[in-house]
Amino acid sequence: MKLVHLSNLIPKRQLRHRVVTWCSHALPGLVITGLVVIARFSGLLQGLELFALDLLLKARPAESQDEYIVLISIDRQDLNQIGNPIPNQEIINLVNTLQSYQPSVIGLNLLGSLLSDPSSKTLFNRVGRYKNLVVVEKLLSERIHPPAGFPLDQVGFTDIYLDGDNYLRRMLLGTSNPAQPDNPEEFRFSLAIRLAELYLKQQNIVLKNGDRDPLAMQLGTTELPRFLPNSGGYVNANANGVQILLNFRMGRQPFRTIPLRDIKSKRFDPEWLRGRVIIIGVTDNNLRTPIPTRVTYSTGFTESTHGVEVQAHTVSQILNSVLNQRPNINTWSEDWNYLWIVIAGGTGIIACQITQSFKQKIIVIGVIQISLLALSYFAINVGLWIPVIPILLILPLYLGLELILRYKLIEKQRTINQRQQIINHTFDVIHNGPLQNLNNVIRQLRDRNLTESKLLSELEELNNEIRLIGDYLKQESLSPEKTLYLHKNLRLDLTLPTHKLFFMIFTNTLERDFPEFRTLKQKVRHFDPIDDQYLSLEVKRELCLFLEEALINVGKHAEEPTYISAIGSNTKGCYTLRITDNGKGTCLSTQGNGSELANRLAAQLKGTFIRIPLKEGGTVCQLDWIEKALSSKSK
Amino acid sequence: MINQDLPDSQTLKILVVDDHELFLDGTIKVLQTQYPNAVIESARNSRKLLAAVQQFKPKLVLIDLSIPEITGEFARTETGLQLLQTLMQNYPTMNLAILSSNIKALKQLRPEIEAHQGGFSIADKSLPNKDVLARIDCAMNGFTHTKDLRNGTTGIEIKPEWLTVLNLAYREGLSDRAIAQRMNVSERTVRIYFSRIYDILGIYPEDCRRNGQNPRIQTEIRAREEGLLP
Repeated sequence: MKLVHLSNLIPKRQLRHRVVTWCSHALPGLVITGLVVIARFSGLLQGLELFALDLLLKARPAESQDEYIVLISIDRQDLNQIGNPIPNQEIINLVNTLQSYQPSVIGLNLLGSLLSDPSSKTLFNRVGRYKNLVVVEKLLSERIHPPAGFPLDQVGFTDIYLDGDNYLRRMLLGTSNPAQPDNPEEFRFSLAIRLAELYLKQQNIVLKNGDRDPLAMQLGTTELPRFLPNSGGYVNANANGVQILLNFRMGRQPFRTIPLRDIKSKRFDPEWLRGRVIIIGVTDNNLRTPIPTRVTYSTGFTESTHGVEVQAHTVSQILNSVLNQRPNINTWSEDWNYLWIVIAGGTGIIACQITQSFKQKIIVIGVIQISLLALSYFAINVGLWIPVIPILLILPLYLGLELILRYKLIEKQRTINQRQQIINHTFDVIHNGPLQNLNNVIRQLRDRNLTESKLLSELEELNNEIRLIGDYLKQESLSPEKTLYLHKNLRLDLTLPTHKLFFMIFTNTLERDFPEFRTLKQKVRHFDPIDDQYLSLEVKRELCLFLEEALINVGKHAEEPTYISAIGSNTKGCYTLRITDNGKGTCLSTQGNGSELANRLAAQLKGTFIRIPLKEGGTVCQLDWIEKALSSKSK
Repeated sequence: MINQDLPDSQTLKILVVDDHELFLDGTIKVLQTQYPNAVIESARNSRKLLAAVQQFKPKLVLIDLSIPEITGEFARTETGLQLLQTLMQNYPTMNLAILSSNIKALKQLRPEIEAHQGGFSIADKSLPNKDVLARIDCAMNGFTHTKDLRNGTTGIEIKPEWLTVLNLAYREGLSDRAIAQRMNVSERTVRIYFSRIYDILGIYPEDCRRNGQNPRIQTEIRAREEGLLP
């Protein structure tokens, strides 16, 4: 046996320990952050982030009613009066009436399909002279022509892009003509931007390309932030044309709305119309399906807004942005978004790691989450959309992970403590026993006070004591699930092959002081190997206990047996464990706990158990099962 | 006597494994004195031993249980046990002598030891030299000596085959060949069964020689004493 040189091992151990410590601290955080970033990048978090945006926007305080825009609504009641489709004459009368009050711009948000004769130039002939009139068309998905005759710069499209969850959050301001996509002369503008442009032209504010982003639209010095495929929480969204995120005007009645019939009966204040942007549209839900919106809605009971009002929100956003510096919804670039997630998440994780007690950690995370929400709300109010959902996810996930790891650590520590106790105990035993004896022997030898035979017996005793310590250590290192406790504190390692366990149990049990064992002369035993892979530790334990119990039964109840045998034979995949004795008594008095074990075991093994007397005297107790039958059980 | 197939001459070949140099040297010296004509090889770890058995084809392998697997590793009883198991599996008729201070560890291998078809003896390292030599000699000749392993166990446990042999030999008085036929095994196997029975009953060839006793008749006497033969 070579001596162990511990000093060689220490430096390597320390280095490994340090690396492991660092890993155990940093790795969980990195993993969670990495997972969340990947989830976001692959679009899994988009739905949640859009939902969060809606909630943040919705929670903003109400704003005053927009002072630039007036809506003329044509509802069911009006349609009943004027007829459907709407006769050209009604439109002509309406436009003429409105123009007499000197509005700034009129937008006729009536698609050709609503008018009774869209292809005729009647409308244009009668109201075409008004240069502040804009009519509408539809360009994408379906093509609906504007009323005939109007020049291109008095036509705006009303196409919109809905998000994947079918809600409207952004507006298309301009797009190339799908019929002639490469012709820059054919670039089309939406109704909203046409109206805003016309209104602002009167104040000498012109529409041009953005200074910072040449593809964006800019009015005067105010650039409208262009929507990109990965703006904010969007991942690979459709950013065709020029789009902006819609910053709805908050409030129950953001726009003054006058029904058509009130205009006709002059039931309104002329000041309501003077110098405004007037938008005329249908608000009957059956004729014009409202557009799904979540932040504000005007139809009263479903989350949707009338089309004409959506146009109003857009015009209002543009005008208020240019004239009153009302913020649009801005976003950081993609890289900054991810950086923010990593930094904010990382800070939260570090804060969590620094705090020691679990309660404190919850408080810290709670505080961080709340301040994140507050920060996001504040940011939205000043027009900045920062990602919040990913960080809200990172921190609780991290906490959960840390909890699991900590639990495992505690378990491990407990095992280590147990082992340490055993080591301590062993040291004490060595110190108090063999070591003392050894010192004794040395002293006696020095005093020449020791005979050779005495020395021999002392050394033998020492040998024994040290060996016992070795046995003790070996036993203690077995875990309880894997051990079977037998007589005289013998522990069996259940991971040993079953037939070997049987051997040990046979010997151990027959050593015990049961009355009927005393007459035994022939103790025969043989056990074929068993295919262990189909037996769980629990079943092995039960088999061992079964054998033990069967032998004990002989020891208790057989009358003066001289022969006992325990044979385990494996024939063609069928294993038979048979315990036989030649005692005169019968073992029928064992219906109590005894047979329960046997029957239960037989059921578990899908085998059979019998205990019957032999005609030549004695009893046989037999358990058999088919090994292959167990292989369907996966363990 | 159990014949061992010797490859060429009648040279006695012994293979010893022990990692402790002093002990190894001492053992080899003692063995050489006892068997002056023997060729004795040694191995220092279990891996080398397995290779040596293959090449050297010894008549007896003497094993210390506490050895390393390769030089430089710790010496562990588990390694010796593993080695023993491998040897018994691959060379079922090899004569084996186990020398160890940790005899109890062999208890796990009892089934294999009982089924082994070569000589097998066990000696505790603390025994005097002459006892150790006697046991080595026992194994060399194909007999069994596992008394040290059964120290502390009361009563005699036997395999069903051995009981059958006893009955056939002493109640029906059959010869070895007849017993072999009846039990459908080879005569050699019957002789191995007898060597195991001798061991169980505490009958050792050397003692018999010294006391002028016939082992087979001793067996009958002892078996009746122990109640194995009614």
